[in-house]
Amino acid sequence: MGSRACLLNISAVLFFMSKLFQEVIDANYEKLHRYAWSLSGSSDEAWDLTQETFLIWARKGSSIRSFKATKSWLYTTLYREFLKKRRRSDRFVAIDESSIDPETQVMDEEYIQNLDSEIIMDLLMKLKFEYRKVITLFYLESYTYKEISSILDIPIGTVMSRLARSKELLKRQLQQAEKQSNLVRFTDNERSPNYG
Amino acid sequence: MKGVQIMDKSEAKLILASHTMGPEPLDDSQFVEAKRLAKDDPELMEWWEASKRFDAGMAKKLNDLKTPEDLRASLLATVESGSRRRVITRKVYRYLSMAASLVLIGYIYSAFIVDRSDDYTGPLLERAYAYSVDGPRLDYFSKDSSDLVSWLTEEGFELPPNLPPKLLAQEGIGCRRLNWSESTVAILCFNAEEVYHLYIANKTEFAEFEVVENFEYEEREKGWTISKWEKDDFVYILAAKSTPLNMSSMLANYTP
Repeated sequence: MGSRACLLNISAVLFFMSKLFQEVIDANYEKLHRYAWSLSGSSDEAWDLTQETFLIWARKGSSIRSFKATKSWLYTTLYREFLKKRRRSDRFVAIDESSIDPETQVMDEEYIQNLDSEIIMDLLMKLKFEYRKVITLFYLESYTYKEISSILDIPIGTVMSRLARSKELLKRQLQQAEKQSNLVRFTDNERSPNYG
Repeated sequence: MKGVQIMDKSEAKLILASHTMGPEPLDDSQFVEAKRLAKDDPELMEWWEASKRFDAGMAKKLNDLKTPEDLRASLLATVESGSRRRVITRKVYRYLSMAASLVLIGYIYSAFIVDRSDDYTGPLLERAYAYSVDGPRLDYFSKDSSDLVSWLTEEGFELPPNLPPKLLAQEGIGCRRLNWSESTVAILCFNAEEVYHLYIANKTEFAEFEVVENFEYEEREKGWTISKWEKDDFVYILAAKSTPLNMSSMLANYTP
């Protein structure tokens, strides 16, 4: 009876762990993959990073009880793993801030709505890594600057300034992309069936 | 007045830019002060509102990015096994998916796309049986059985009003209009673990068709069973690699 009870306990623990793994993966893997994508610039590399992160979590972090703490832990681990693997030189060409059109206008929300998510990611990839890692975390999880500061282990003031600056750069990039797309923007009147 | 500083507009912008999504931190004195400034400054308030809309749009777009379909399964396998076979796992998944796709394409091609309908001669029953065994080519595919009926009707084949309900309740595969002996025959295929091939033809065009009074199931080679009957002005043949018992269950609640 003793060994049977022991086996039942082991089975129960394994079942619980399996269920826990599934719940944590389901709750976080998509956003983690997107964050890894924004860091690495590649969906394939993002796959590896996400997998590595969950593997480390299964070995070390699965004892964390709080759901919120688990999520932050996953982001921190993923970011650190990325830094470990990152080559010395950033292979992405970061946008030259001095070349940005100084006229920043209010961005048309409708224009953003009509853009593909991949284009947004492409534009994000043009930002410097230091900006990108902050703003993506902000957009993906609506984290506060304090939480971002804790996850990335950088000062709060730095997060605030990078967040504001990266948004500004992103808006300007979108404006430039809009200008370069040569798209004719229709007004509401022109879009109506009676137009023309 | 040590420690008391007056917040200017640029500082307020910096703080407000960090609070465009999620709940407002009303216990944060700096945020409260920045918000108070915005209330007194319509331009600042307008800028903050526009920033909120911009950030909401960007957040939605980023969160719409699709993740690879097999990532979740791979993560579960990796985490539960605790192994570092992630790349291998992913490659194996991909190669297996590709191999499975090729096998499936090959099967569909040989089973449903290669047209061998003119190779068959002889009585309708034998022709239908041989065509089913070799794999019929279909012209229209749908998992919805009612779509198959609609498609054949649109193609000008007048189907009888009452088809075997149990068969129609199965998942559809596809259908086609065949021209055999200058006569039209409709074939409908259903997926019920085994593929059921139902042939329907106008009775006047197949006068030689031998029909018995009751359902008749005839076992053929390699586990195939056929059945034939007539109802109203139509003749029917059902062929499947199935047992007579299973086939009879497909014809439940159906009286010719």
